Amino acid sequence: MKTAAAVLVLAAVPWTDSPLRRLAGGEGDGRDPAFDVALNPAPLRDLCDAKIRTYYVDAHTETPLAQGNAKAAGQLYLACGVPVQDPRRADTTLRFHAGHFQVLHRID
Amino acid sequence: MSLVAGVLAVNVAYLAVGYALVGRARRRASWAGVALLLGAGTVATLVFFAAIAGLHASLAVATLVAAGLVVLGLVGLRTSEQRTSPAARVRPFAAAVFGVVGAICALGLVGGFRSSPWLDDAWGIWLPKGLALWHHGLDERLFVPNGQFVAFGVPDYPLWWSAVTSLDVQAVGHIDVRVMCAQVALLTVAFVSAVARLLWGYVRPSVLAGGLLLLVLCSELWRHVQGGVADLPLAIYVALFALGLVVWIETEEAFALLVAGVSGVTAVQIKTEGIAEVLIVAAVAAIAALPRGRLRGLGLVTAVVAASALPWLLWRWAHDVPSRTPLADTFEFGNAGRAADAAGELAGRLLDPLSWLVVVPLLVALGLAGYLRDRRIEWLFPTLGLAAGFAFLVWAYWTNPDPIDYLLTTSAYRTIDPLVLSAAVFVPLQAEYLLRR
Repeated sequence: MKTAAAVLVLAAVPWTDSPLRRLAGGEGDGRDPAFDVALNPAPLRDLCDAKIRTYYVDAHTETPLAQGNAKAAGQLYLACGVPVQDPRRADTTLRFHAGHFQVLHRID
Repeated sequence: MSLVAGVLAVNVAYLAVGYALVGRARRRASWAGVALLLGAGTVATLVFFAAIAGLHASLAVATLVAAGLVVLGLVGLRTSEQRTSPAARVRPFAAAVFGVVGAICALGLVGGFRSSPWLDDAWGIWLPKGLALWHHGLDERLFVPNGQFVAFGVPDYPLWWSAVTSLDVQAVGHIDVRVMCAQVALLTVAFVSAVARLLWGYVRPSVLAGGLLLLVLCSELWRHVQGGVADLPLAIYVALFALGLVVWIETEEAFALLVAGVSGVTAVQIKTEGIAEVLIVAAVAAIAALPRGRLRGLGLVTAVVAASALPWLLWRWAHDVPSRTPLADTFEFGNAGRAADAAGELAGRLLDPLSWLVVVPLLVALGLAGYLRDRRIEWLFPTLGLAAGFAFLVWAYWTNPDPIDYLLTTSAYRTIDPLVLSAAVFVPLQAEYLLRR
């Protein structure tokens, strides 16, 4: 018990980036993913409450990496809906540009 | 529910199922790690199978599955009563080392709950697949590449890890990707506890404590916990499969076969390489079991594990989802340079002391030391298993169609996890045998 307590006390010492602090999660992360690009998923969080069925994410102006992150964000936060490849088949269309999502079109 | 409450609620259910399965004599705190791993393995495997059968991977389905397993465990399943383990006196030094192991695990658990996975595959593929299984079931619009819908990547991967993390999110009540690291952390700590429990009485406490300390001091272990990587749960169940088989060969205890069976079945449902890795373990175990005439139980468990791959393989076959490593490419010897690149990278990762300390070289050294002393080939069986697993990974990289540099950079550091954790399980066993004989 003494050795366990010693390790836990060492972890509490506020050294910057000590291995034990890293082990305990460092400064801690939020609930959203660590996206590879600037991406604010907040507008997506409530869309499932609006019962979307099909959606399309338009990110054609972005880099391939940003497009991939936008696609993954859609599949993560809009799992209630089904992503389509043709915007004409979507009841909800989103535009992703410069890190932000915007709902362009919605058919209720 | 909060992140902590939601994830813990799901895992308490796994624990309850596990305790029902382990038998009355093992319903004690020291068996919690084994129980959690058995519970998570069985519940999520059956939820995945239910999704293949057309149901949604929801908490309701998981609750029904868990209830059924509890009834089966309490009423129907008759696992053997626990053998009386040889008395193990824990000296102060060993107790102190166990204390350090416990404290590191506690910190690792805290770190898991506070970390968002750094691996983009975790939040970009594994969890979204699980959420789709919840909302839509195993809908071919999402799980089979097509021209109309945006399907998921790596469609040939089985979905146990997706189901597990989806259940966590459902219990939490909103998208919180930290559930992935929290769940891996719980499974990892349960694994350390399970190894301690299963080897207790067979390996002296000081050696056991030292072996576990070596594992939990590996920075790469906890980095993978905080990455939410599926390779770590796979490694945990492959290593537990190996340990279960070893305990079976040593003791002929039916409970060890249950541990091996559940672990092997679970490993097969986590990643495509799981089936090959458990079959390699089973093959090496069969060589070890042959002189003792214990092939029957081993063969039975291996058959069950292999058969458990069928539901997913049949679904893939029915929906024309091919493997990304076609067998036909096995004989493309023009690509032999890929094998050399893969072997070099994998060996470097396995032997990197900054990642996995000396886990793998120590196991090899212990085996060689025992062999040189006794001239008995069984000392080398764990090393043989490692070599076979290594050769399999080299083959997998050789035949994969993706560019080799990209492939190795993005995955070699984690595809070796099953080799490392299996080695870590055998280090205390080999050290004990070396001291004992």
